[in-house]
Parts: sequence; C-alpha cells; structure tokens
Amino acid sequence: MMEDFQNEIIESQVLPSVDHVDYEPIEKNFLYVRLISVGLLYVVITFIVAALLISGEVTFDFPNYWAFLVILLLLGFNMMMAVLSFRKRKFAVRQHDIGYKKGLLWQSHITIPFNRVQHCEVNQGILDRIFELSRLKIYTAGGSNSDLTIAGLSPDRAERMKSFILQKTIHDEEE
Amino acid sequence: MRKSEWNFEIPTRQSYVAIILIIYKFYKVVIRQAWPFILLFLLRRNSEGVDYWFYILILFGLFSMGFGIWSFFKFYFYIDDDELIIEKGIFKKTKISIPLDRVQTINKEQNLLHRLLSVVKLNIDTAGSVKNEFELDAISEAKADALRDLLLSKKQELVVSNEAEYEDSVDQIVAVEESEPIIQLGFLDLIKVGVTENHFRSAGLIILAMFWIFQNLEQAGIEAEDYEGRVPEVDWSMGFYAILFFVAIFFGIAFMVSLVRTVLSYFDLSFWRQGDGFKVRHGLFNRSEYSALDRKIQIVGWENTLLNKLFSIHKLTMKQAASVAVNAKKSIKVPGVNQAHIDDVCDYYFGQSIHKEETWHQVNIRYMYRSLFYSVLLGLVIIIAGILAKQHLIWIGGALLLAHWVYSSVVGYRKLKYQLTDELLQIRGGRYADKNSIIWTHKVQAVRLIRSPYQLRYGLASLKIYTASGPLTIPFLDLDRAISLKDKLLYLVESSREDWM
Repeated sequence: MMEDFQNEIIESQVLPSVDHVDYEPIEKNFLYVRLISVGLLYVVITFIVAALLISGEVTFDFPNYWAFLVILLLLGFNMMMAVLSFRKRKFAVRQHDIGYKKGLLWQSHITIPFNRVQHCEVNQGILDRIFELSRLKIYTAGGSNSDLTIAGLSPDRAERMKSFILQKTIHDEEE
Repeated sequence: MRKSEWNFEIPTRQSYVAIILIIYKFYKVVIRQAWPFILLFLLRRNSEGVDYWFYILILFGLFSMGFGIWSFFKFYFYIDDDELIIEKGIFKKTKISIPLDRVQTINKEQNLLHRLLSVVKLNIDTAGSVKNEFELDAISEAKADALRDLLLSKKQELVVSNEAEYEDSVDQIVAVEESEPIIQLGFLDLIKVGVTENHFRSAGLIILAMFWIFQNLEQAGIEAEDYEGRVPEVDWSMGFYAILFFVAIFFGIAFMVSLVRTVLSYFDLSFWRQGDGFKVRHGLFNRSEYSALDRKIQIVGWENTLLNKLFSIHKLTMKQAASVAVNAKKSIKVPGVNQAHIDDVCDYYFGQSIHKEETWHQVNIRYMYRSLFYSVLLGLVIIIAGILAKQHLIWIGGALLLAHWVYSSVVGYRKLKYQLTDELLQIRGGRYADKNSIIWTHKVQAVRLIRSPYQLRYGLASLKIYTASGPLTIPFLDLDRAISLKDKLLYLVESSREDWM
C-alpha cells in the first residue's frame, strides 16, 4: 500500500492537505461538562475569597461585594469563552493520521501519524460518566506535549476509534 | 571477536572490589543528603560530655559496610538463552531479565575510584523507560568488553533471525575494534573551549550553588545571619567603581570555574564512528564513555557562542530518544569541534541526504517587527523611568538593554532559516551565537500548527515539530506556507518505511 506513493514527485499542491478535510465536532454534551467544571472552579474560588474576607486575613479598600462582582464577571467571561470555543473543538480521522483542532483566540491543530502512535487509551472522568462521554488519549514518543486528548466522544465512538487506531498502528508496523 | 575466557551462562558476581564501590556509593548518597547535619555535628564536637553521636555514627558506618558486603554476595548476573538476568537483594529478592534484542546501548564509565581499582562500571540501556536501565558497579575492563561483545553479537543473531531485511547492517554493528577517531581534542583545544565558554552560565551556576549552600545550612539550623558580624562590612557608598570591581572579580572566578570544569570533564576527548553508532570518551578523573546508536539519535545539532567564533569552534550535540525528563543525560555533547568535524559526522549519520540542497526559507518579517515592538516599548519605559528618577545607572542600563534587544530582534530574524528536503529538516538560527539542528523527517512524531491572536490577525502560524528528543519550532510562517510544510512533513512520515527508532 505504501509503495503506491513511495517515489512520486512531491508538489505541495497535490499533497493531501490537512486543511481540506471535513472535521467532525465532538458531542454536544461535552459543553455541559465544560460549563460545570468552570462553574465548580469558581465555586471553589468564591469560597476561598469568602473565607479570607470573613476571617479578616484580607481586607480591601473598596466594599467587599466588589470582589464578588469581579469573580462573577470572570465567571461570565470564562463561560462565554467555553461556549464560543466549544465549536472549535473538532477532529478528523484519516487513512494515515488523526488530527485535532481547538482554541478560539489561541488556536492549535495537531496531527499524529498512525505509524508514530505508541499506544492509546480511553478514559472517563466523573463528569464524563454523568453525561455519558469518554476521552480518547493518544500517546507518541514525542513527550507529553505531543500527546493528544480528544474529550467529549461517545463511549462507543471512543472505543471504536481506539481499536481502529491500534489496528492501524499494528498494520503499519508489519508493512 | 576475541574468544571469551568467561562463561557468562553461569551466575557470576561482580569483581570483588565492587564491595568498596557499593559502600562508597552508599556513603556518597548519605553524605550528599545529610551533609548539613554532618557539618553541624562536626562543628559541635567541641562541646563537652560524652558524644553518643560519635558512636552512633561509627555503628552506622560498620552496619552499612556489612550491608554492602552482604548485598555484594547476593548479586549475580548471567545470560540465559536470549536474556540477560540479574538477581539481587537481601531481604527483597529481585530478578530482572532483559531480552537481549532490547538492549540499546552499553556504556562504560570509570571514575577516579574505578581507575584506581582498575575496573569499569557497565551501563546497559534498553528501549524502555529509565527503570529498565541497569548498572554493573564494577567488573574488570576485559570482562566488560567480553560481555559487551557477547551481548552485541547475541543481539545480532536475534535481529537476524527475526528480520531478514536487516542482513546488510549486521556486520557493522558487531564491529567493536576501535578505528581512527573522527574527533580528538588535545590540551590546547580544551583551553580554547574553556576560555570561550559561556561564562555567564558559570556565573549563574555559582550563584545557584551559593543559594543552595545557604538553604541547606539554614535547614541544619545554621543561620547565615548569625555570622553576619564576622563578615567585613561592605561599604556600598564606594559606588560605581566598587560594584564594577566586584563584578570583575566575580566574572574572573566564573571564568576560572568554566575553564577548569571544561578541561577536567572533557580531558582527552575522543569521538568515534562505531558500527551503526557513535562513541565518545572523555574526562580526567571521571572517565566516561557513551555510545549512541544511529537509530536512537533524533536531533543532530551544533551551536557556538560569541567567543567560540574567535576560534571557529562549535559544540556538537546528538540528542537520543528518551523521555523528556532524562533528556540531558541522553545527549552526546562534543565541544570544540570545527566545521570539518561536523561535516564528517553529518556524512556518517545522514549519508548522501545531507548533500541534497533545497532553498533556505526565512520566516515572515513580522517575527522581527513584533520583537522590535516589545523591545522598544520595554526599553523606553526603563530609560524614561531612569531619567525621571535621576538614576544614571538605570537609564544607561536601559539604553544598553534596548540596544541588545534591538540587535537580537533584527539578527534573530535574519539568521532564522529552515530547509526541508524529502529526507531532512534543517533549522538555523541564533542571535549572538549560531545554532543548527537537523532531523530525519521520518523521525518526526507529530506536527502542531499554532496561531496566537496576533498571528490570526496577520494570517500567520507557527509550527511545532515533535521528535522523541524534544520539539523543534518554526515560528511566524505565512499560513499557506505553514499548512503546506505540515502536509509535506506528514506525508513524508506517513509514506516512510523507516523506523524512527
């Protein structure tokens, strides 16, 4: 199979492009997971600030409710970003590699060839379980920064992708 | 290959002098961990009364000595079928078996103690994680060589029987006879390297070491402040010249430190091509020998410092595949090499591929603009603040910094170039220094395209290319260019039949 394009002349115009592929969105439910985890983070922050204010460890020159207003504002901003960036999370499985895009202001688009995959696993956090979602994690030898996690897949889908990738990597190695 | 006088199939112990080394290693660990306490103890010895601590220390010493001897007698290694097996442990018995075809490199190391006892430490590294690496503390050099030859030849047989297509490369790996070194550094070369080291780094190391000593003393209950009275008062009103004087002395010390360090650690350096890999040996007191197989080498790079340019020498590094945490240990470093040496090494490692030339591309000029913008902004803030506060030192320093930043931005942009052929990706760069990195395209693990808000606005992107020994970055490319580079790299990786390791 590989021989088919072994010695072709390479012109970038004819190369299969990572950009002209239909990227698939992740499950809608994952938005709730994101929003809830952002919300939980702010609940913790609010409690800490409240505890500091009540115990008198920290005092502000301005009225205390201002601090909570700021927290509320930040929460709103984070929630908004979570909603807006949600649609930017997309992935594509091709014949020879898997790609994952994310980010609204800071965009990142990583592609991992199957013949460089070390192993992959499917896992589930507590929130994921509630919303019936799974995460697919793909490891390479390029260190943790080049590992790829696709969150918000249906468990069935994640498992199928995992076995597809594993079968692909074995197949590529044997060749 | 020499006929082995030793039969490695029966369980063998290490050389008897290993006992000394085991004990030495143990004491070293203890002293390194607890030296502030030991120092404290010694300082307090003049207090009166019976010193129970003294006896406890002796008892502890004797006990660990017995422990060392015992564990020596419980340590065996042997080869069983296709596995190297190690058995050890007094209370908790461990048996490690290493399939021979997984053995990656075998390194000999000899520190001062080893040399006095004429033994070597053998370091056997496998494809797995750090835990799969193991050491024989002390065996005689002849035995170490015999074992190494045996391991390599056994490994060969396995590779041959498993994969027929490897046949051509077989003879090369077994070759253990030492040929002419590609690089050899004499004393004068080392002086050149030492003199032109990055002395700023040595200065930084000295400051770090001082901090570390203070911290440890504090932990042991010795407060540096207690001794403040004994240190002669420094009269800071002496002003500018005094500061200059101290800085000069400090850099003088840093200079000496880097010179001595270089000469000691790289003394009598030799660098060989050996089979399908490279081997380097150096050191005056601590002799170390490292090997790197071509397969394991991921990034070949060389760089110089501003001072290095005086003698046109570079430092060559060959980074091997490893988890990022142990990266530094896994790269072979050869200082003081000239361009001819580098060309030789590249010829060996990359073969004909290195001679295929493509055009060198530059990144987008906004890379410079953006850097200039921040340089000028920050520089002006410092200068204006200095002038307003009437602090001459601050605004002069700010002006110097500004000049440095502006120079770095312009030169950093102009030097940054990359070239991609079907086989190799090369990146050049550097500001005061020159930096070069080359990788085989088939050793790329993953490619990431990154866009910051600024880059989004101007249609730019950066590429991060991950390898098994760290990432390479090409910043500020035009988006089209970045995408086509990424496509080409992925195509090359996916269509390649070469293993990355």
